[in-house]
Amino acid sequence: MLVRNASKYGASGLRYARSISTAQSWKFEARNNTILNKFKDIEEIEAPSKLAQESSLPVIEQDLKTKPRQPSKKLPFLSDNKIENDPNYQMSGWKQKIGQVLIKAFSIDMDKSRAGPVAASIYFGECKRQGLYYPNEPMSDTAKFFYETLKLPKSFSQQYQIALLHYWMLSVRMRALPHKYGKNYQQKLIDRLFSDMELRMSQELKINSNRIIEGYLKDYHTQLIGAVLSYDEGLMTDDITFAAALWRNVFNGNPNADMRHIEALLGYVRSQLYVLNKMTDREFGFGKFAFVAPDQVVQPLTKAQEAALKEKVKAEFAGHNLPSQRSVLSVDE
Amino acid sequence: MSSKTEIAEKIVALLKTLPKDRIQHYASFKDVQLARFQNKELVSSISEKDLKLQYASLRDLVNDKYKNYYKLDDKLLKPKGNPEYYTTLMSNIKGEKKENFFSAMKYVIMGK
Repeated sequence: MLVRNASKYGASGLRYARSISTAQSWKFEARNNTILNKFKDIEEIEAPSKLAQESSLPVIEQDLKTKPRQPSKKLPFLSDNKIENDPNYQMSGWKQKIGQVLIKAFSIDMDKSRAGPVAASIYFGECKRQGLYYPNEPMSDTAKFFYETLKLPKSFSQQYQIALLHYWMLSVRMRALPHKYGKNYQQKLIDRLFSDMELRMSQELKINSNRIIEGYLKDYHTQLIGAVLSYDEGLMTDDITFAAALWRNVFNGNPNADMRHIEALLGYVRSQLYVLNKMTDREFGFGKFAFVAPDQVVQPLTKAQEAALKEKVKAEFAGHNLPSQRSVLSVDE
Repeated sequence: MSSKTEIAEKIVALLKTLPKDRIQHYASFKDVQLARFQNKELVSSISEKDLKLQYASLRDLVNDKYKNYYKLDDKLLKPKGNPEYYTTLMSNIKGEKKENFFSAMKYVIMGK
């Protein structure tokens, strides 16, 4: 799988994976400055969490004007449904056979149908997992990166901003799918994110008024539009514009935000986009993507490695001949 | 001049080179950070090492270190689902082109 391979190059320290030159025009040179000169010569990219940990800037708490409400209950990660909750669930043989016959008889467009289980379940879970936090419970590595390394506030809105950032990364890739499928994947993912937030506000945060929940959802929707626009602008322009967008959205415009932390988050986002860029439509459409952990380095692939990965993907999908496994998504790009 | 003041001045000089935001946001990164690093009291509370790291990070961001390292190709930048998506977006942001009623309605109905 591309993600594992791409991240593996970093995790195992296989430096041969590097294929591009990082020669840059250093416009802002430093004189007589050992630390800065050290950074100037560095061509290596460090893992985002390691980069962020280098700084020991004194933390000045941001005044959020309100104390974040903490959940008093924990809902199942995805849902109560046994099919969605059990990763090893297997439909019984006769049910599968009936399903295959129906798909073939009615020529069901499986790429359209697959958007539900892939975007609204697998990718939704990926987005939610990254910033998920419950008091007195162990956090995932990515959540530790956001809350302990980057020192972001542990609030529901912060969790939403982290999920939103991951949603945006996936939606950038979804735009590159054929239009009718990409749009469907995006819609399914965002619908699930919002319905989950509505449920969590009511049942975990115990907000009893539907009117208040609706107000929050409208605010979150406005934030979604603003954040997607800013991230898109950052993607198409330069790193500093992208960093400013991350600062406004993920770092809540904190005046005392650590530049090292912003840089680490930008590296994290760009590396994920790189992996998404190298993934074929078919792999992505089948839900094979998983975000690379922030303690790993993604190294750019050489042409030969890229070709080898593509061959592997082709071989994997060549065996997918059942009606439910049919797809028009490309295995080449 | 102390070394810390010198680094703070470099940071300020670097921040001053940043262009103005294309769209007005609730907070401007450039203005907020300029005010921060021009605050002598605040700068003096930061160690020299951390101040250097702040400068190094800003410099990496300004020099597009990550954009150049993790190069994306047209697959994402000209997405086949909507090849004109980013071109239209950027021309709207820069104020070169404005959506008229019909093009906006077409986007709402067709999705591209």
